[in-house]
Amino acid sequence: MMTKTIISTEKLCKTFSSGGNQQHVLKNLDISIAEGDFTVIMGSSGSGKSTLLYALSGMDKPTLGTIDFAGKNLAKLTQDQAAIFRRNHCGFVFQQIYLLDNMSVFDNILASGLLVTRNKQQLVKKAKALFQQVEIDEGSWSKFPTQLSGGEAQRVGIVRAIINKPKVLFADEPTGALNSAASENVLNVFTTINRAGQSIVLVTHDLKTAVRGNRILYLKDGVINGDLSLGHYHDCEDVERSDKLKHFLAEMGW
Amino acid sequence: MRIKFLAATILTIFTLGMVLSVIVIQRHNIQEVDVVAINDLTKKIENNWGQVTAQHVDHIVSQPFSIIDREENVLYRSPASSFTSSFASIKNRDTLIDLQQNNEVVGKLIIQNDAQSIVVRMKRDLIIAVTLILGLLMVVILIYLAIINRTLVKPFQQLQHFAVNVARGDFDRPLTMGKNNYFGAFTESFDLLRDELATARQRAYESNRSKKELVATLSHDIKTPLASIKAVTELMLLQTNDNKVKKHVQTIFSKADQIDLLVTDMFHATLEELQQLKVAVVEVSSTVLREMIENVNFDHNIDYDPIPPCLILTDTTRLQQVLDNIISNAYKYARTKIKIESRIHQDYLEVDIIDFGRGISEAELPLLFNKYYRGQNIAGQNGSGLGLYISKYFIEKMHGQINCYNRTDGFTVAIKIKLAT
Repeated sequence: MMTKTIISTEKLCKTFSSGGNQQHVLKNLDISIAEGDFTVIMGSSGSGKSTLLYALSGMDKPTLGTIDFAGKNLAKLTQDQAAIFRRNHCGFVFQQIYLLDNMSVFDNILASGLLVTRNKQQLVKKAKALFQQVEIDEGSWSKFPTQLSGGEAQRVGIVRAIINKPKVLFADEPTGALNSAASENVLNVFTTINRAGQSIVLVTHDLKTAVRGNRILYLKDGVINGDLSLGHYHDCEDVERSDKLKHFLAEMGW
Repeated sequence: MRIKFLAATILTIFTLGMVLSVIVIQRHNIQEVDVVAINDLTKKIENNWGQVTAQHVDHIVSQPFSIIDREENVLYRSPASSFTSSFASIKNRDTLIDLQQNNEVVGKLIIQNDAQSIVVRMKRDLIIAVTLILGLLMVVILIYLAIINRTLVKPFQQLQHFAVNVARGDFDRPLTMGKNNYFGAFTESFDLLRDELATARQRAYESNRSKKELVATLSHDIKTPLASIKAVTELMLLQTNDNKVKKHVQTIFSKADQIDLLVTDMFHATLEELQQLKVAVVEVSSTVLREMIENVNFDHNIDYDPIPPCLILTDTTRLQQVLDNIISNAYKYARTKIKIESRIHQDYLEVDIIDFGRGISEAELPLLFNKYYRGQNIAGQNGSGLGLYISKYFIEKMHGQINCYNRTDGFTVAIKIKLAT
């Protein structure tokens, strides 16, 4: 089956300079990410994982090279153009969820949705469907974010991220602050929406999170050191799958 | 001298202004009131009171005048007169003279005073004259300022650029300046200074190099007899059966080997001591290549497309040396335009330096990168035969590759620079 490429980079470099020192965080990366894939970026701290995620999603401009995202070169966009591009084509989930505390859960979702569409009726319908998908029951819709548990809040965060049907959902350590039961719930949501066709790029250093992906990129010193294809995730009992991942990471010097 | 010219011009304009003002004032001199003529006129009018006609009063006074009676009825007015009321006449400072008949005032003779309008006209003319002269002065001064800018300020700025270039060690850019400005001789000596500095530096460099070359050549020369010694001892080792002799010969062989190593070390140490062979590889953006090319693009003889952006592994100083070397070779031996093409291919940034000269013979190609090798086309060109050898050494230390080949229309040196990974 031919898969379409949604993001491809060419000699992507990111350099931070402070004083006279230059630190090359990303070096000549040629990456292509297929549509519908669940791509996981792993690597030790400081290997450039988050920097890569920010560059791929247009949050940060690369120093050199090009990023082709759905036919647009992100490296050439101005800040304002990049902001509009992100609003229309990217969804974001972070470790910190950043829901707006003075709005109800449902309003949080609507506020995001109304940035892109004016059709409120359809938006409400879509939001309800998504809430069902991530198993947030109707009783919680009118609650305020502070009344939610961490896992619930993160699932609301995911709904907010995908309400505008982004081409790619970017996640940076989405389960970093959650206990294992809550992370399992959140990860199930990721698996579910990926099965429904949502492309996901996720940065993590958690094995249980990584095993959900069907492609693992291992980043070391700003270079892709390994590229593992895992195939589609079925259930958590798949021991062979997690062994394959562990073996791969051991080889990478994890 | 221009200053004399300027002084003369200003003086001329000043005099012109004075003369013009005087002429303006002279032209508008206010006519004196002619008392005798007025008395005469008064007498004539009084004598003909009641029937004054033009022929009685014509041409007696030059100013326009009017005659009125006590009720201010105009009895007579000369053609140019503009009497309206006695009040207006007093305001205009007209001369009013009572006309008497039998010791009784019967009317007034009003002789119009045109001083006011003359003064107004004079003022206007003076303003025009003064503006004209001041404007002329301004134009002259502006022109002079422009000339000063061109002959004084600009050369100074040029001199500053020049000094900065020399300080930077760039002795190749001459100071071009017309000899007909104030600094002609002055700047010429600066240019001489640059020339002298350049030759002094070249001489220092050459003496250094000849020393280095001497050591390098010596060590190379020592290696030849050493190789014979090694060969002979090896032969002896095979031929002799006497164990004692074998041991001695073995010693000779190992010592010869040691000398060989020492000599090789010396060769490298000599060059390294002169800071010639140290390579410190770092990761830099390929944009530095553009600057490097511009640094040697003196006559804009080099055509190059934008360098593909990427991160490369290189020592910028050494890579600059390599580019200098290859490009100056092209300048020296091909004397054509130079074209630089670059592309990313697999793990390398490939940079091709292309000239359109006659190239070199195929037989010589494999020898080009050898130490002290110089081609057959070197007539009239100085060189040591070390340039390409050192270039290859540098490029290989940077994990890159260097190659060269003939094309039908010229010669290409292809450098492959490793991408950072």
